[in-house]
Amino acid sequence: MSPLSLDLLLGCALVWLATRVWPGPDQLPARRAAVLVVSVAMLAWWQPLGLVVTLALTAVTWAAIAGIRATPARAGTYTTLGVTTVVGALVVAKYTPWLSTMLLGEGAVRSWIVPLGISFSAFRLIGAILDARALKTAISAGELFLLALFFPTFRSGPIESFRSFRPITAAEGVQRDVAWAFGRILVGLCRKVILADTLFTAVIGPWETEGIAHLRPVQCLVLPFLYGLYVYWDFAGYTDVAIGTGALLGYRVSENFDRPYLSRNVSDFWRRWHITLSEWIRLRLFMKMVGRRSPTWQLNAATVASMGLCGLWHGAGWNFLAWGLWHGFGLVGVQLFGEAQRRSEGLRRVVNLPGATLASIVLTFVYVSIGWAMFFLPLGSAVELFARAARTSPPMMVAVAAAVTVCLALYEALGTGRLARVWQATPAVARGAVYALLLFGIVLGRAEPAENFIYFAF
Amino acid sequence: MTAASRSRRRWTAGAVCLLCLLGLDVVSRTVVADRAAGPTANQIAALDTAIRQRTDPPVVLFLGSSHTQAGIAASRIEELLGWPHGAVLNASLSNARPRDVLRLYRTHRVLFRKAKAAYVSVDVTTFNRNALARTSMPSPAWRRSASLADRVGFPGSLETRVDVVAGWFWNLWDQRTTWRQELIGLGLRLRGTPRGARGSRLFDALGRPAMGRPRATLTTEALTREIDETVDRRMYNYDFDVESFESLDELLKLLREDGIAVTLIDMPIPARFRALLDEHYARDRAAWAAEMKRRYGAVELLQFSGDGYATEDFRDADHLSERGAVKFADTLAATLRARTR
Repeated sequence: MSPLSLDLLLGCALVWLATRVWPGPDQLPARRAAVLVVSVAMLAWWQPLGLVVTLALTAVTWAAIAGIRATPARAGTYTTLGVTTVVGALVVAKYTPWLSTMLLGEGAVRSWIVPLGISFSAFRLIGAILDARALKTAISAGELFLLALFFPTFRSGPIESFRSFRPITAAEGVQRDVAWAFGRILVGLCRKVILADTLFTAVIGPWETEGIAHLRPVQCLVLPFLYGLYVYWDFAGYTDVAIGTGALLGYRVSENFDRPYLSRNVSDFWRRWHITLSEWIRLRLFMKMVGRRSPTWQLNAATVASMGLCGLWHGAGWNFLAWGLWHGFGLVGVQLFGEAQRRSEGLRRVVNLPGATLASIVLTFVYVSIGWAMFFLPLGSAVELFARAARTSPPMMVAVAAAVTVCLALYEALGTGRLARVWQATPAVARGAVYALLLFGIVLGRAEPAENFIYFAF
Repeated sequence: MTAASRSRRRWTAGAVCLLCLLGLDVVSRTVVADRAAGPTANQIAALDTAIRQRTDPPVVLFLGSSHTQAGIAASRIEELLGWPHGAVLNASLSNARPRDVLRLYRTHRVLFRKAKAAYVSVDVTTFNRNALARTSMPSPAWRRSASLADRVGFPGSLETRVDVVAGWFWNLWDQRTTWRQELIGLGLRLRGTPRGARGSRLFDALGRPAMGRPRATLTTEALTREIDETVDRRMYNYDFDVESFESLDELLKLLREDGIAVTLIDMPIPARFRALLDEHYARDRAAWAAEMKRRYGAVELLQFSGDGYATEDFRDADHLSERGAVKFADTLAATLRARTR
């Protein structure tokens, strides 16, 4: 599914037709069946292996949930069996080539196909098993299979749970109608095609082709920030399309982003970035590692370990592990700073100084951007990038820092609320012209061949 | 805001959006599509810049597509004839059709009209309006003249076919590459940076323009495979491209008006390429030859055979390699020497 892809349009059209044929609230099972059939067809079209693996894992999950419900006394066993099977499948499917290379050397596995969407499916299904046990929710097989196979979210999330993924109610439908859905899809395509793809084809791609060793120091300094913008526009664009498509099909899909680059610290960043993943990691991984009265060292160790695993979830590679650990240490740093603040009056005064908010936003953006360099580049190249960036002349460094600060200050001052108010007050004629201009931009910005979303690779 | 007024606002915005898109479509069909060229805007601009930088006019001018671009070693010919540097100019563009060549001649007519002789490349495939440069995504130039039937029958993937069919209904979609090129060009002009600033560095040591990196020599088997595929692509659904004939008519008229001796040349191609043309497309070739004779019977047509050329003399199915261009330069120099004696 690339932006503007025909399979996506066809799938949406079919399901939209189903919502017209079975519109009533009592016809939900029929609509759900239609969505499920179209989802299976789409997945089979994308990658049959991905469909087969997901169906098998969903069947295992259903069996575990049925076991938990039928014999509560053995719920623990069923949970362990279900979760172990899904985790095992994820490890085998995704990490075999990487682990074999480490253990047996280069070329141990010559060709390996990773089932499509395995990372996201595995987390959804583990979540379903744990929820079934903890919350004792009544779940039908249809609901479970739809949660696992729903095509707008299948490849790159959001990572839905039974609580978050549900049909849009009649009251919500007034707001999340067809026009709203199309608007959301349009926003997503603008982010992806006009912003992310243009940034990649015009700047990042040529710089990568040139090679880190041939970039000027100032390019190396700027590149991590560009990676940050690129991944945000790409992934948030995908999420917008998924949410809009979900609404068209009558389902509420969770928000995954909340202006993450206005975060005041790394902890705040993870409340705003890939929200469904960070929630999953917090509830299902971190909370399992610590107790209510765990000492600070244990909390910190669990934070670093959780984030390391979060990094590895993104991909089998040392750079992903390094990226996760970088954020883990960032979170520990925030925790320690919070404690220091509680103890020190002077620090509290510094934090409340005018401009401290902007400074914290800028520092967080820089910290997160450094992480993106590790995320996108092999570790060796990332280190080379940092070394070259350090050679930037001081005036140029100041200029880049000033540019980043001004951009973030403007972003914060504008805010989406203000933009939304301006948009609400815009006359209908001007709105129409803007829509046309955006569609024009999407058509012109579409890369040839179309660029896939980054998170499809995970 | 009431539901009724919200609905009215939405319909108004939708209608305005549609009107704007229709307006853009009209601009696309009438203005932008006409600027769709075979060569890329960058390539055209680079050659334009390089030609503008010349002070002395050429004595002999070679015009044509990638066949002459790759096969005419202008510097080598000058060397063999003992002519000064710049006497022979290879002003060819890859993917160029006669329409693009005509545009190039018109742009530089002041300089070109001082040439003594012009060699314009022609070959049967250039006059096929359905010839495909590649099947993964057809060029804007192909899209410009493709009918709905051409598009439905396009031999690419399903997605490409749907793309080209959608382009028949929505020209903005069809000509998105041309739009992009034009807007980038406009932006660069506004910034004051001319496109194609490579200028005189455009020509390689043999005097061939914009040749890019040399390609590794193909094995005979690989070349055979490539020829088999290319012949069918270039001769796909053969149909005369009226516009190409009209453009060539106009170009020859201008050359004659400028007092330049014109010769048409059909560049050497591998023997297998020629054999496949004779075997599978004999009727089309004969029709083309008849049409050429009818239109340009008075103009000399030099047809060079690919006999005597080895596998390594070809870069791909129908283009000479560096080695082939050097070999062909000997033949051409002999021809030119005989004519200028």
